[in-house]
Amino acid sequence: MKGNVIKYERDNIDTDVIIPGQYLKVHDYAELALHAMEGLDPDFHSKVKEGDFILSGRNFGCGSSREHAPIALSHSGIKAVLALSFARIFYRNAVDGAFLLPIEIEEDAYSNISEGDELDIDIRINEIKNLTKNKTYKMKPFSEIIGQIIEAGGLFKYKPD
Amino acid sequence: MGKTLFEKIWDAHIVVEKENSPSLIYIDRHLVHEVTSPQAFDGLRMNNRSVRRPDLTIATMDHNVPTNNRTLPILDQTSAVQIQTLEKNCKDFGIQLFDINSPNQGIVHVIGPQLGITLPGSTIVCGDSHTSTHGAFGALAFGIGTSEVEHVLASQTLWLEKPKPFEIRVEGKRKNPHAVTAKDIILSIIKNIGTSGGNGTVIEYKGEGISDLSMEQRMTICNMSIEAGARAGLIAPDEKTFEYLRGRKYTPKNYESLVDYWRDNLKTDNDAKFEKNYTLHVDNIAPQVSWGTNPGMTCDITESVPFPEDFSKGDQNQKKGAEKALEYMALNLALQLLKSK
Repeated sequence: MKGNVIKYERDNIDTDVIIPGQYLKVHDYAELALHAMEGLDPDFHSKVKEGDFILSGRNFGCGSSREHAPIALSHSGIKAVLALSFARIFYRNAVDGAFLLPIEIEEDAYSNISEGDELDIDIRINEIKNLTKNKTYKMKPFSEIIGQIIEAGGLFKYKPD
Repeated sequence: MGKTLFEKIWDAHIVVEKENSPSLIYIDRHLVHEVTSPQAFDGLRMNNRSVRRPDLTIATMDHNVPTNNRTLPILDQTSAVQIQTLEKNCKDFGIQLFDINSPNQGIVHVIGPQLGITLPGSTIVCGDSHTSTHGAFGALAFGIGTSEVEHVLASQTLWLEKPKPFEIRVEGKRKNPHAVTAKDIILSIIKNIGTSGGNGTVIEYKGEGISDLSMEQRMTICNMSIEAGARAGLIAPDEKTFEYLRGRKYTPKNYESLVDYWRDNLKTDNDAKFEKNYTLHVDNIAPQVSWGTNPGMTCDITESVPFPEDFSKGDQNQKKGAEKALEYMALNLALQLLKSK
């Protein structure tokens, strides 16, 4: 999975920033995507490309449980969010609906990766390659069931053995 | 070794358990509202599924409800559609709904306790992060997303990763309980542990500063566990809890025998171990004032607003966050003036 990075160097990006409350009545996912990240970065919609990744600090996706948050990012083209840590509900929303991959990273990756860097992420070997900087980082592996839900393509396609 | 209150409730609700993986947890009560449920009901329809336990599912509309003139049509069309959609979904799936005209309608986290639906020792979920409010009654209550709402509707269970128990002791007595409220207590805690301080944990609040509080005040504390980054907040039930729930509309008929059981069992054992501990002394805390943009950015009303440099000991993100927040609040210029003094 290859893509370029949009970096937000801060902690606690909450779901109200990812998709502001006034859009929660919107059912159309394409329209939701137009307002993704609007609370923090009004230019997000014009700069995001299909396949991009977001890189951010701790506690990404905290606040309101709205599943609209990963949906808006996913329909903007975001394939994965790389963060130092995630809030639980955002994490599970992202995985359960197969909207995007929430990838936990370490400090080295967080400080080393810059805006615009091209990454190649391989979740099978828990590796993130920075093609721009020619560096490799480890990602934190998914737990067993989370990995299985991702592989199945979402919670409702997942069948436990 | 003894168990924490959280571990006791968790263990009593395990359906499937696997090492190093989420457990399948049984859900006792599922509260549903209009904003996070439409796609979940659509999902059930698409897959020809029914609601597993409509009798344990209660719906109300609260986010898009006008605060006055409810007899008139709702002007905002998208709000009106969400409300009508919940009405139809509840009818189609046989779920009890407290609709816009019902005397039982209200904020979903408030009507649970008020109607006696929220019970100590139970598991409660709702598609709303502040579901942790029910923790004030010794219930393990989680906010969930829409896919999880659908999963609970279909199966009355959830795959949940087991959180770690976090003990927060609130010691001492507030000097002026009229000025220093439950909100000031929880804001002081969040200021100290940070908005991600509770990540991956269920907080149990204990101590004199908690038992002194009314049930409503305890709800305020547990509500904001989410702002501390925790998955849930809990307070062991006591006589105040039992008294509050006695004789409510949906309080179970065998209530007194339940109380006897809860009194003996719903508490953390003396030798139980918490992963994390924090103690707040409330004797000297003042009302909290926000100087920034997240719930951790408060100071005592008697203190001055911090300079970004005050955070330079911590990590860079904290300092940057403070700079941005002070700029947004237009306090940066005032701070520059103070500096140039």
